[in-house]
Amino acid sequence: MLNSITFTRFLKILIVVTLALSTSSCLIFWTKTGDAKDPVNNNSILVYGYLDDSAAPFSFRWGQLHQVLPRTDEPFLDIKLNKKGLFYLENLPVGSYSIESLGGPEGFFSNSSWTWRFPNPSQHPEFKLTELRAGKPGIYFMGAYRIYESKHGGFFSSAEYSSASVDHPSELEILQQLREKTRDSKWDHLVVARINELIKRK
Amino acid sequence: MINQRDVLVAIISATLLLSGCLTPRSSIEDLSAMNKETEVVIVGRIEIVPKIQKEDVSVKMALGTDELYRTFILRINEDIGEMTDYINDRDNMVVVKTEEDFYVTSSRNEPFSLYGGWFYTKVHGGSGASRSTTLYHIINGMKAEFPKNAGAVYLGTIRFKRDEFFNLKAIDFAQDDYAAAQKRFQKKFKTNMPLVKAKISQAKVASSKK
Repeated sequence: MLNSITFTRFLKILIVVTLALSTSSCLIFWTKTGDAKDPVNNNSILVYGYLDDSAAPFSFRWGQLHQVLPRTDEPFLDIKLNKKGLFYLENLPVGSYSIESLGGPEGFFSNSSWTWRFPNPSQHPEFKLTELRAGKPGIYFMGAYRIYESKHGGFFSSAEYSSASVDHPSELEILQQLREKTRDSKWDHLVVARINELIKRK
Repeated sequence: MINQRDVLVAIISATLLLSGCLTPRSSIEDLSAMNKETEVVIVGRIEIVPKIQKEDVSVKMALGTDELYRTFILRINEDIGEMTDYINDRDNMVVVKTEEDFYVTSSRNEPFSLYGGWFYTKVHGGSGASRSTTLYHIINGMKAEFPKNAGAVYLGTIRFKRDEFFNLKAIDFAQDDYAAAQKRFQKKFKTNMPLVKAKISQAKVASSKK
């Protein structure tokens, strides 16, 4: 009896909160954090990268890849991430991809969100890994980046932000984060092979 | 009667108004729209090589158009130093279609200059609205000089060569379509007015930005 009353009360609260959020234009976004699924065929790739959001004006919670080739009706693909900076996406067909944008909410109490686009690599070579031409199945690194305040804001002006590619964390450290997501999938042997390759190079 | 060009301009205007921009003008459809005392009509063509295919541009809008992937917004006559898709100068931004002649009015007292332009690669409306553009900048501009008594001036074909990520790799310019362009111009506007070939000082430096 008590359980039934508690459940009914919980349900009412849930309905009220949902209605309140939906009428206040609050941004509700489900961050994709799931583990990697097995390759769907022999022509798939997995891509991964990293964003340091510690000095960014937002918490990194979502992003999109642009599938340039092969052409598709739905070219913008939501990435997965682990909320520690790693982002990745598996089961993409062999082809060409670019990082379309990374983003997230400005803060817990803010209703604003950010969408960050990296500079064009044809003019800024340090971002060359944001564009990927994958010619064969496998796993591909799309770089590690950070967003930072490049100009302090004043009383009458807003702060300005820039992005840069970073060497830390290294690809090896990022792969170790990725492994937590691929450990139970058939991608794992490729991740382990790449880790071993990078360790040998050290 | 509302034609496809009007619909395109309306959609671009709606997209830009949402972002606080003004509306660009469009290629003319009637010579009576120009002031023959002070203006000439500039005839040219923009090509993007390889062509942008419909599937290259992601459009999700309640009021959609099949032609947005062929839309290019020219930046003309005023060097703003850096290409931007923010429209704050209606006179110097013109909506045209790629692979098709454009007819743009310009002052007859000054050379015509083309600084490049931009096109959409993504326009998503509704909740989660977002848009992405790619900008092609002809640094220092391509200048077209013409005689003061010209009524219509042939600029030529400007070809922006790109890779699959839309990055600009090279820019080509040619006036080899002059005779056919003159026929198309005279037929479209039902006129005998000749096209005068402009003398072009071609820009050699170009860049792209997303």
